[in-house]
Amino acid sequence: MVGLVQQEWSERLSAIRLDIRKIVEGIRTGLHRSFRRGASAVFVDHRDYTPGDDPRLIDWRASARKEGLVIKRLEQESELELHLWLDASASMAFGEGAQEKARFAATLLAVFATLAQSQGDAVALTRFDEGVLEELPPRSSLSHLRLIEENLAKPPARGARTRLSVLGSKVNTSKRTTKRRGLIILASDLLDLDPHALDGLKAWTKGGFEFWVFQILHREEIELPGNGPFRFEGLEGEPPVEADPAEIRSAYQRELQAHLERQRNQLVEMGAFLRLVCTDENIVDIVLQHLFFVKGALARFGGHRRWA
Amino acid sequence: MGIASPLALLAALLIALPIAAHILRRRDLPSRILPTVAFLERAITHKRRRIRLVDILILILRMGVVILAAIGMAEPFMVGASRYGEEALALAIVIDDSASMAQLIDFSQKRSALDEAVARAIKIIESLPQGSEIAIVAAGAPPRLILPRTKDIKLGKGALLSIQPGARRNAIGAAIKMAERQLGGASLSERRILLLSDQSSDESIPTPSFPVELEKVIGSGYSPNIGIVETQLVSPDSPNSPWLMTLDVRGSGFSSQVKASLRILSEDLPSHPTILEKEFTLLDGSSSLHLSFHPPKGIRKIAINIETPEDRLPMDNRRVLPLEASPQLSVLFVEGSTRRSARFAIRALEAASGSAHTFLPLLVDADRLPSFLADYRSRENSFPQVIVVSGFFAPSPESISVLEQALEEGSGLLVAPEASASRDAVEAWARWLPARPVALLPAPSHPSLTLEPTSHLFFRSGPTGLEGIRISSYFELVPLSDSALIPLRIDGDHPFLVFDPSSRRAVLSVGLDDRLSDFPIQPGFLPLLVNLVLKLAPPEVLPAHPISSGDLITLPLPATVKNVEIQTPSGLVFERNPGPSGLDLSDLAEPGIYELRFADSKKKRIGRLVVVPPPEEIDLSPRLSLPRSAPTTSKASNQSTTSLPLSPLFFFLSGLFAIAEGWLRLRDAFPLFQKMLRRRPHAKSITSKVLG
Repeated sequence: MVGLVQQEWSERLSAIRLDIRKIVEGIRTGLHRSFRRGASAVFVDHRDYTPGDDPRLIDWRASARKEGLVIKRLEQESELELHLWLDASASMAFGEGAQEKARFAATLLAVFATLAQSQGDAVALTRFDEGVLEELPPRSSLSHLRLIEENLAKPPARGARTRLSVLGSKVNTSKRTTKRRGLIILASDLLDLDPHALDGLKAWTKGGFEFWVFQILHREEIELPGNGPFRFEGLEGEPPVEADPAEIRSAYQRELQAHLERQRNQLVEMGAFLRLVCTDENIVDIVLQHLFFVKGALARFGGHRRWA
Repeated sequence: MGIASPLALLAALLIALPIAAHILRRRDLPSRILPTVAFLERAITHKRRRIRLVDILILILRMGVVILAAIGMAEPFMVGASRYGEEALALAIVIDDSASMAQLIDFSQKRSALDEAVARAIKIIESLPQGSEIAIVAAGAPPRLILPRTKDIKLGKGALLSIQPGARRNAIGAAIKMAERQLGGASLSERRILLLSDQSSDESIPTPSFPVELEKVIGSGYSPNIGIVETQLVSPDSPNSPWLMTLDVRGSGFSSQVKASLRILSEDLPSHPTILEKEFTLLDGSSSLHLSFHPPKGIRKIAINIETPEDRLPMDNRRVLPLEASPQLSVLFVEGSTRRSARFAIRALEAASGSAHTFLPLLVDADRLPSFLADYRSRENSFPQVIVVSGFFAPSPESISVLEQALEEGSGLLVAPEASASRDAVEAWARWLPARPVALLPAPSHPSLTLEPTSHLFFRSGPTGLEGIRISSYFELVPLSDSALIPLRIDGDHPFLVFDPSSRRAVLSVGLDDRLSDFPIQPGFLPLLVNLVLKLAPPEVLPAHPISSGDLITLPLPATVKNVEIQTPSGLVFERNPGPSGLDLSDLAEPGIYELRFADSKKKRIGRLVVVPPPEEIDLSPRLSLPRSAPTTSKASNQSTTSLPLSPLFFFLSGLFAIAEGWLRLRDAFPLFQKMLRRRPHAKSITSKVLG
């Protein structure tokens, strides 16, 4: 195993559970509230029995008062279906060691996967760049978690561009595997300058998925340090640019900031949560801060209010 | 504007470096990976024009840094801009060329203080604004006008280079007065005097009329020096007896006792064999040596050399003396009254003996004059060289006879009246005098003595020492001879002294005692009397003791002598024509023995004269100061030139360019710059904002 998640993180992560603000739709019984009515203690209503229903759900007393069999509908505690989307484009191969954007994103997603698997939730993975590279269905087994980690650890492809629109088209191609609602966590640098790149993601949020976006950037990308002229080269086939960081820094940061704000506005508009993280930050801190934040939001808004 | 180190301008070729860097940096840039390069491209699109301008500006600044630094290294200077401004002025340069200015300030290059002063003066006149006038005066005695006031300042350099060190006293005060006279007729309103001196003078400088700038030409610190003050040589009584010599040596500027060596050399022989060698120690800065030696046969000149380490002034370490008996100048005072009126004059000559002349004062009462002169004539084979009569007495026929004989044989005569003289006695003396005493008149309440042009025969320029004289009454003198000179007058009208240089006879309007005036107790009494006696002495009488340039030495000569051949110590021979009062020798500055050759009606004569550096010039410590009441005086300065160095300015500008270049390059890198310029939010704030 690649060992993305370190053992010492487990103790800190055990203090909190992966929770979401929306009601999930899972198959198996889990920790999360579900639209499915099932074997919980919370009664909802009755309906007529149809062949194939679990006979254990027949409310015999109610059936006696009625002409036919009725089934007692109970609120069911369902498992979470966690979809991990990893940007494997070439731009994610920037940085050294643990601060490489791709490794940082993979580790971040691995932490969430580990957390979900420990709660018995199913975890799915999609790696993409200009198209979908790998797609693992949601499973909650430990062996599946290992498989997910192995795929997370794969290096980004050289020269492959970031194309976020592929995630929107994935609604149709992956309809079978993603027909249930759940949580989508996207780890990407979002370096897709197409202004409509995020439009396709609306389908996911409208479909009832909780959508968390972690925008991964290296600090050099934000601050553009250095002095003296350089020939800057991109990783996704962009033409090289000669510039002196000292001279161009302000203008560059204005452009970057405008791009980030535009994406933030789009994501917030569609009900997603965006957090920009720098690769020199502590991953566990990021996860804990985020989960505590979600838990606080659930407590305040009952899990049915929009974030924005 | 000039450049001291033109070769340093080659450093300007380094300008190729920033140009090459500017060209090459676009070709061979280090490569950097940046995933967000697309935003960089967008930013550059907006800033490209501005960046290009900034690039050119940076290139210009870098080139400026190199060029300005190269110019700075070339040591440019602006001549004269800071010292006398841009407006033309009349500048009198007074250069001290007294003996002390021969002190060495650079042993290795044998560079003297006078060399330094001349070099500075040349730079100063080269830096003067257009239209300026210069005059150059040498301040060693006697003060000399080297270059009269002229607008042709190019003449100044040649005039300055003609100044040579000599055995001169200081005459800075008189030189400044001479410079003032030169500036007096200048058409320019801005007039200044620049005095270049080592300041080793005790002279009291009168308050100048124009601003005087005093510039010291030697460095700080003591200037050790040892010099010969006086020598007394006694000839042997018999051929086998030794010569005796007393040598006074003085040192100054030494921190402790000084050991020195003495050598007496034979100056006549080419090999200069050593006659005597001796080591001695200067205690308390001076030493008196008593020596005896046997010079080789036929030697007529010896040289005395003293040496000690660190000695700055070699000129006063050597003295050349003739080995011959010193003649004395005999002066006979005839006491014409019972009041002992000649005693002041006798004391004055005794005091003056031993410096430049040896006087042998003799005194006789008027009634014993015939027998005294007859005895003196028979004993010395001549009459006293000068006869001074104090008080008109009625001469007896014998006195008249013997006086006529003495005057005929060349004796000089000075007569000073006395109040109680009878009219007949006065008339009796009038036959020998250049002026007739007419009557005793009461003096004005506050009389003053007026100097006539011929007064320079008796007085140095400057105060005469007779300014405060008080006269109760005086004899009205009527000149009888056309050749009679009247150097001094009472209130500009009545003769105070009448002197005939051709007959060498003189008469005063007051007595030699203090009855008619306080003349004998005035400071100017002694120099006037000494010079008067010297003028009255027969022509062949030369000073027996060494003299210095500036001493009032005039050799009285018969009218038949038209020129005198003078051979200098270095062997040069020149001729000089005697003036009405005799041959002026006060400007002989080369130390050593001078030979004077002339022929009168009877025979050829040869005289010798020794010129030595004046003893007061041995002390090299700077002590001269200008009077506080001078219009403006600058403090002593070690500035060697008048040029204003521009290197600091160019280095400063180069630094400014470098700062500007750095600011242009780094202003986006440091938030402080942006904050100062109220620019948009800086990088940190953007990062913080984006990261939440």
